[in-house]
Amino acid sequence: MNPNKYIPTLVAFTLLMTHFSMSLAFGDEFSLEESRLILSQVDNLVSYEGKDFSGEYTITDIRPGEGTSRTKMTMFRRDSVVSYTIIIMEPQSDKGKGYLRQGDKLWLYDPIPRRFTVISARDRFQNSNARNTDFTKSTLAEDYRIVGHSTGQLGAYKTDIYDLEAITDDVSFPKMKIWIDQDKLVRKFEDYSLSGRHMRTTAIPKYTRLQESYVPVQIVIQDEVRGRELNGKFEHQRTVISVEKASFMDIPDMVFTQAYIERVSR
Amino acid sequence: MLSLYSHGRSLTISIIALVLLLCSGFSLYSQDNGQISMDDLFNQPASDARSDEQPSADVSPDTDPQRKESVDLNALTTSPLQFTGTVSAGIGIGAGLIEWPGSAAGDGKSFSDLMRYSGFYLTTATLGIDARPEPYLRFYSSLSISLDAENMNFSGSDIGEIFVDYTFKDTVFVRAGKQSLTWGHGRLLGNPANLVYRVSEGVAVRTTLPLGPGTLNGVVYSKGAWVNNPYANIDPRTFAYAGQWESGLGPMAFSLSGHFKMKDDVEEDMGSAFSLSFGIGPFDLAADLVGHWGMANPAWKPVELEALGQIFWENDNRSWSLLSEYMFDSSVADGLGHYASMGLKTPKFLGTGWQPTLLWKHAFQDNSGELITGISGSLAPGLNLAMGIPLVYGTPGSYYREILSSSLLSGDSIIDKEEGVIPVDNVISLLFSVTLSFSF
Repeated sequence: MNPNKYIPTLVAFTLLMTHFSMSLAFGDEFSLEESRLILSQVDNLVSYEGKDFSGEYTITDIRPGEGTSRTKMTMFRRDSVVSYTIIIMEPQSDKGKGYLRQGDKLWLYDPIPRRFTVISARDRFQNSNARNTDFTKSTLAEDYRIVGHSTGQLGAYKTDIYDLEAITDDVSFPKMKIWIDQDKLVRKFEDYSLSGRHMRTTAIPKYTRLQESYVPVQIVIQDEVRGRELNGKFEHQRTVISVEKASFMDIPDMVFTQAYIERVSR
Repeated sequence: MLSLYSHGRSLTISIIALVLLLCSGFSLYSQDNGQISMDDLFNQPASDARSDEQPSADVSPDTDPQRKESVDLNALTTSPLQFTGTVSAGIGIGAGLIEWPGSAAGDGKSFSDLMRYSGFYLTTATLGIDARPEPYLRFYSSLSISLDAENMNFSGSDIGEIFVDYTFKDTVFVRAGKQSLTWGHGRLLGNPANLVYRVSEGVAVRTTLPLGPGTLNGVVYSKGAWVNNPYANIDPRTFAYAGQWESGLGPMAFSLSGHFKMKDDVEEDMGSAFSLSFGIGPFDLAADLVGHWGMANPAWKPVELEALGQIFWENDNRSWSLLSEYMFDSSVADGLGHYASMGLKTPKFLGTGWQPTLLWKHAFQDNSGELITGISGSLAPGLNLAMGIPLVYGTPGSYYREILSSSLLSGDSIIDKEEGVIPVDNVISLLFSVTLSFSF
């Protein structure tokens, strides 16, 4: 028996296993179906199909060297029809403004001329670092596919880190990197432009469990492009979103209409 | 003893939780010692209420009373009587040339002869009353008092709006009284699809209700000039009737609207408009097509046709904005009623709060137009300074030499505001204004 004749077989087997383990480790071989499976698990925990969601949001926009502004708003969301209504409560200058999203369309109501205007869902929300799309249900599985995978520690969390690439044009950012904890909750994500420029980082340090779903109740969004150098250090613009009174109570259909926004507008 | 021990332990945990919460909260806003890294936000172990196995430091899934609270829908539609107000006060000065020296219109006059100085004082106080005694019922009124600069006196007042809202079975919304309403997309060159632009001049009853996959608006209104001219106030012909159905298809929003007034004072009995808006990439596009018909004209021959196209773009940082419009008006002879406009908002000047803006309008019928460059910013909280240079071009008597420049010194972006403060019909001017504005 000549053991040498097994060497090519062993080498081939070793190479195959190495490739397989590398694929698992770095995720460059995720099929679209595998991507969907993983990302839909993530989506499902923070999507509220069949339920109405409501909550009071406080959005604090921190602009280094320029000051801090605060917006308070009431949010009503119905994921089954991709709809939301947002009523601005503070500041006084924006009080009475409202947003109505129905499917792909988004209207902004301005109470001064009493006019609804169609705006882009991808726009920044109230000039903060949040996007209008940030208030809809999570659709990672529909919009992205996994092109890379690794693991890492994010503070106290052991996380899976996925590199994502958009499979549709209807997204604010064509590339993303997301950190998923062991409970399949997104803890952090980074948004990238097509050229690979790091545009935005979002951290979600805190969730609240509501029935079988999870509501992010503390979100920090950092603009990686905008900011100012203070005391020799570059400080980024940041938006901190906190959510109170999160609930799945039933909401009347009328809340998701233009008439309701006019009705509650101050 | 056990109870006391438990109580003491709970207290200790509560204090620790409170300290952690406060530290966490402060760290989010921390700027004094530089920003903390985003990753450092996760240094504290599981502080959220996400599983029973990892109990939260500050809330727990089953006992947190906060999570049992929910948005009070009634609180949004009911409130005790509220008073609100806005006060604006300002002064403005300007200097400009009536005609260009050396031009034919200048008629050989010297520079100083052609120079004109102007100014204004402005003080307006607006008071609002808002009462929402029941979720389905609301009363609102706003009253404005302005300085009469000619007599230096506050004489007279103007009721901006006074209306009652009634919502029937959470479905049909009715607003009755003096009110404002805007349809259509136009911002820079007028708004031809705003068929209801005269609603604010009189009183109206407006109804909004869901209809099919859209929303139906119905308006019946009249104004003082129509009463007894020629019909009595109880004659249905004294009133104008308007309707709009708004819906969407995919990312497109569209509306169909119509307006009818027998013996209309603008000699058009019937108007109709089709409006469309949608987004393509970073652009928001909108279009309005408007037709007006007279009862004496055959249906196929409108008195007037107007079309407006609009494109809006904003860069990712929202530091640059561009709004451009094109309009066609068939009422101008020989099909020459073409207009174009562009409003540009640039980044704030050298990182300061000063915002440069540019507005250009052009009438192709006589190649007249206006170009306004301006810069505005805040001097102190509530106090704004604006500076502008409006330049009007075209021969004397041309379209833009006859209308007044507007939207210059309102203290806000020329893209955002349409109300002007100083009327300008000079060929070129230099204008300054300082305004104080606040709400309470």
